[in-house]
Amino acid sequence: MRKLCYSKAFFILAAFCFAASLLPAQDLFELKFTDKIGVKYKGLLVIFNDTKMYMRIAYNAEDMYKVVQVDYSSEHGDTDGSEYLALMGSNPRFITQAGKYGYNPDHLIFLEDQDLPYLTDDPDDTSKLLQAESFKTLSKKDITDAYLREFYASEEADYKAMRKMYGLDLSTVNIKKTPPNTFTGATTLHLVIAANTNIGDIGMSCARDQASLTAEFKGIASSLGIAYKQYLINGDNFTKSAVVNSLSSMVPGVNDIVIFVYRGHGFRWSDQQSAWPQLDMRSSPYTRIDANTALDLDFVFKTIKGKGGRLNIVLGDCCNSSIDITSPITGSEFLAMQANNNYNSDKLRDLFMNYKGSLMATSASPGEVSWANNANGGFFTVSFLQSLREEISYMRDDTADWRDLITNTVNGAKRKSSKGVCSNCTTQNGIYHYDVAPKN
Amino acid sequence: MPKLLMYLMSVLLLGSKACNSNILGDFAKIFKSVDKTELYAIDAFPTPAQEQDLSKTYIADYKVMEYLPLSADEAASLKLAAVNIRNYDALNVKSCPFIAKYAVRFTTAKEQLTYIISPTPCGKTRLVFSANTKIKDKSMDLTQENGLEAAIQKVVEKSTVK
Repeated sequence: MRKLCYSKAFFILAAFCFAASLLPAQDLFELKFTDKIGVKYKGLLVIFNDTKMYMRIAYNAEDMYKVVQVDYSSEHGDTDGSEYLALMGSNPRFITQAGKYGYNPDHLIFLEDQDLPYLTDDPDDTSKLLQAESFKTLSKKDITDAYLREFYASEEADYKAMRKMYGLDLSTVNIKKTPPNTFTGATTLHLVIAANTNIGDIGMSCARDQASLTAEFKGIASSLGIAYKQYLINGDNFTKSAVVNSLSSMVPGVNDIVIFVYRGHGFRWSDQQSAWPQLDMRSSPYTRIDANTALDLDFVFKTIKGKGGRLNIVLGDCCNSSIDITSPITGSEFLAMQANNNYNSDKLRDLFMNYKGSLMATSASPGEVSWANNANGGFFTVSFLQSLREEISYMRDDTADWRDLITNTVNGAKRKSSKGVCSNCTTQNGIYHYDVAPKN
Repeated sequence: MPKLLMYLMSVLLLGSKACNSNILGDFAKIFKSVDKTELYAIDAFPTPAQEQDLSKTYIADYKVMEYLPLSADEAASLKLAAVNIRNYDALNVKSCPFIAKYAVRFTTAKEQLTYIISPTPCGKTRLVFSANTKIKDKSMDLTQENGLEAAIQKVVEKSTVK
């Protein structure tokens, strides 16, 4: 089985990276290596989002303790059928005193069957190639104040943000703030996920997204101290009637949040006018596509909106390309990641408790296909989770905003499917309908 | 970067060839002894065995709509395209429904391998093996402008002209 060929290191990054520049917000990695003259280096790789990452490298040279920061961009692809992930370093700058010698940025190459990445500071001189001594994801228990101070000065913004993220800033840990929620009464977050986990081609990616989404929103509800209710339509239960029944049984209150995510095949009828895709609610290839199996995303949106919840988010991560079947005439309309709970609770509360309205988005424009990766999930869903984490992160200075979040989601999926990142993909341009505003 | 990458690929990936050769799986061996190649236009969806019309022909449960005769060169082109790993996307999948249109059947003395093709824009293929093999069926996405669809299209255009 092909998957067995992946190395641990490649999987660590591939799972997080998802096609090279597809990195989630605020994940930290540690890299150790020794150069040809015996100098030992310890790197802290900081991933903000799929376009922003850097590494702080600490080492001793010239009788000085030095820390240098190098920016990174990523390339992912396959050559001769083997996958690689390259992190290309640029723009080195010293955080400590520079000393007499500069620092050539290192480039990191992860290969699918190698346990540890390779490094070089000169792509044109392969004799300088080194293999790292260790590479690991850092967990919360690894991040101490002393550890961060190996790489940061005490006044740096990222240092302060990481202290908050990892619970090292006592001013944010011990003081329980009164929620600035302007609503009264209890709030429930209703999460509805329809994921075609049984289907052969994308089932694995759908299952992965379902796990990521449920973990994320369960964590968010817990952080906000609100009730959480989930409705999963998957496996053999992945049918149009199951979605209809779930939506029918859901009765959101006026302060409630409803989030609907579809992960599966999507299409549009050959004579369809609406821009929104049809959701393919079949889990078996033997079932023909017809009115009983196709569900209009726009109809799901209108149904949810009509239920009167305060904030309604409807996301469709699926293709929007035409099939050679015309719209059936119907008599009646009816209806890879791990959770990262390092949220800025104020921003989280702002986003989920102080906004109202409805938002619908789908991953591809009419005529386009939407892409997924079995190891990581749908490009759009992963981008949504990345954007969500970024929006509610300590590392961001601005206020949390749903328009930023959905714009970043659409742009993130577009970037992931662009030629520079995914050579075999066609670019997907998600679309959205935005009707969300601050409560006040 | 390309130079470095090429170097790495040439030196470091030698040890991963066992993985690389498995992109197409064990079935690639079948192509060494193919005796017959056939191309069919088929129904968009498979029909469950209990619902199949005995007077009709089915391939991997898909009803045959038309038999498309092949010249020796066309058969060779299909065989080459079927085994070329550049026609398949090993990393990413499109989230669109598989709508079958063609079936390509390769027959050896011992077994049969059938490619069910869903054409662009939802380019995908399902590989279905005859019951006497232990190889599991497989789904793969086709790359944009893949050679397999191109080879089929040449035959289809020829048939249409006639």
